[in-house]
Amino acid sequence: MGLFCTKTSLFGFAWALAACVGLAACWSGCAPSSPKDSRPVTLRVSTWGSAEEMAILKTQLAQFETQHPRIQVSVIHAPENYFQKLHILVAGGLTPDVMMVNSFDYPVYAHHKILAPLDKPLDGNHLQSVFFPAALQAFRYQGVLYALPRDVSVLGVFVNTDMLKAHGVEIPQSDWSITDLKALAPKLTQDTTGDGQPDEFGISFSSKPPLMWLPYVWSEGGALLSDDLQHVRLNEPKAVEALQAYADLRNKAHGAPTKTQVGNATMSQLFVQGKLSMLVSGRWSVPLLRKQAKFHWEVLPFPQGRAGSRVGVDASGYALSSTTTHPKEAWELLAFLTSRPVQTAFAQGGLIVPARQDVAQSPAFRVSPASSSQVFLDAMASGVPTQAPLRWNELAEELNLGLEPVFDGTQSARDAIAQMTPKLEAMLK
Amino acid sequence: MTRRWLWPVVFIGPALSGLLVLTWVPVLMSLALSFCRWDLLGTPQFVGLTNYQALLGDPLFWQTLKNTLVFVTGSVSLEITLALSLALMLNRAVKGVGLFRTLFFLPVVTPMVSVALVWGWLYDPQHGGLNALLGLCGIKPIAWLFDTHWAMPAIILLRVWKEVGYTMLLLLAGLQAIPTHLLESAALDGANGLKRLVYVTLPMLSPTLFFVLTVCLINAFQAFDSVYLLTQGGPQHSTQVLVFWVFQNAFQFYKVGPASAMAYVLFLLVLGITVVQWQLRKRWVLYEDA
Repeated sequence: MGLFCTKTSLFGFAWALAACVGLAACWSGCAPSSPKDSRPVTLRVSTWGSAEEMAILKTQLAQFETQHPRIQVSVIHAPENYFQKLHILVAGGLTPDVMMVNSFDYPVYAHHKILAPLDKPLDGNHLQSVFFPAALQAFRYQGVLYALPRDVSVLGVFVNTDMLKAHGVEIPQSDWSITDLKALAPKLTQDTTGDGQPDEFGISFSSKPPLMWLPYVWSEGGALLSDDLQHVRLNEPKAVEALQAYADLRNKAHGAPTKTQVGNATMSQLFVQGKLSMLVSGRWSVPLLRKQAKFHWEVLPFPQGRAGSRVGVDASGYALSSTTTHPKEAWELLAFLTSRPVQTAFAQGGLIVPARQDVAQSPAFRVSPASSSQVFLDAMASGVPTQAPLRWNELAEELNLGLEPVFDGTQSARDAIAQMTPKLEAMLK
Repeated sequence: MTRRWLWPVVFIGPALSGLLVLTWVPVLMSLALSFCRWDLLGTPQFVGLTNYQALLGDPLFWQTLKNTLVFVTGSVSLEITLALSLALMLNRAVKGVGLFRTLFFLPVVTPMVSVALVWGWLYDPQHGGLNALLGLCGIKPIAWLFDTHWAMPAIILLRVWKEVGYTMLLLLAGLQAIPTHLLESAALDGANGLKRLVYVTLPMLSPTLFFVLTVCLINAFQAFDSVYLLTQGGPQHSTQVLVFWVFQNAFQFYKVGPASAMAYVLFLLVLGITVVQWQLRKRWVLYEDA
């Protein structure tokens, strides 16, 4: 079992693993040799994930332990505030041997050399053929690869087709536009109980995190940051206009629910309850819908703006500690966690868009309706790679709070962005 | 005889070493870190007073300070008034008094996470219990935690509900320590209920009230959990309080320097208020031996 499971690539993997093991051994002073190989080893792996996700992971790790009798894997599971906990572990000198990371939060660890660079030990060409290039790109910090991707996060629009039909509305084509959305969403906002308050809404509205509203900006040709992450571009006219239009979709056109109308419910809950016709979300919503939705649904690409349909391409994956005392075994675990069988197990649950191309093309991912799965792969091709400066958390919080009045309809996008731009710029220095 | 000092050391040693290692060392390290730039991973860099200067120049700091003072004033005054009223009502030999005392104390022993979940539902603008009650009185729904004007009162209300039982219990103990002959003498002299309360009960209760006020103030300044669980400082910073700010900077933004500086500002603030209270006690606290 390894990174590559086709016959043709098996040799490539064996070579790559041999190379990486050799190099990995050199990080720790070329210490590991045959006598030590028989000693039992405990590897610590940290991860987030729902109970469902953990059940899959634990089954897979049990298999790994069976295949590697002298390696035991101890899982550090932090379902909430994962990176806060990881940060404390690292600061306390307890860095896990293998860490799950995402493309927004890993740069700070790469910057401090907590993560081992993976470029040298691995064959770049092979990696490009196994993983989606966009997924690999998400884990390159200053050109160096620091994690192997498990999955890719891209957004699509989940549509309750029964609701649209009930309202006599045609289901949009896959090349639909933001203009179509603006016309459609208000029609689907209805007061079905006659109390003067709408109780069914057109499309979901998320004011945070930024990646939920950024597709509206990117698709209209705007941007949040410059490519070199040195400057803010949200104050440019296209971005300001797109953000204002997004806020207006909720506050003026009433195509999306307000905070008061949503209350404590999540957008996913409203969608499952049949109170929302369209939900902007990722593949992770699929298990919930398969289990709970009592209606027909499909996934459409994010609607096109002037620059096309552009959502963020973010990724989650596994990284190695640069100070692990068991580099060889940690490498084996990393290779296992990003192997075809493991990604297949996760993809089968409907939870992830696999970062491996072979799994993405397999029936495990392309389950019925296959078109809904393809939407996520297409989104990856046209999407915007993760832009995560070192102070991303702070920047995101500033955006969350600074744009709150815009999304509530109490301040114009122009004014709010002008106010926060100096602060955002300072965070990029 | 020469080893008499040894026994106290043996007995207090374990507790003292815990206090030293787990409290005083971090407190001193935090002071040092307030003069540094550090993200928990690299090496701390000395930056002098920069963190303190940046804090004072940050409008958010002043808003956070204002929010904290509003929270402290609102919650402490309401809590003590309500607790005193409850304690006076429950300081009687009426049927079921034990049950009421238990009921009022229950929120104190309920974990904050459970409380926040329940109150989150009560405050729900669409399906919340509180708006349903207001609706019966013909009052329009309030957006509570989503409205910049209502979020802070909502957090204060929750805290008062959660903490009032403890304060009530302390005041009840204070009330029960008042000698009955004083109240009886006042009654014989013709003092009515209100006069007995103002001229006998409250002065005799003043040492307890002083203690309760000091503890409530210190606790209120340290409020964090309800804000963290319900509003995360929002909407639009309207419930951002000092301790949440410290937490956010240290553990979400990994800015340990500014967070430590803020922690020391909070420390000085609480210290200052406690010292002032201590000085003012002579004017209103009645000690029997004085």
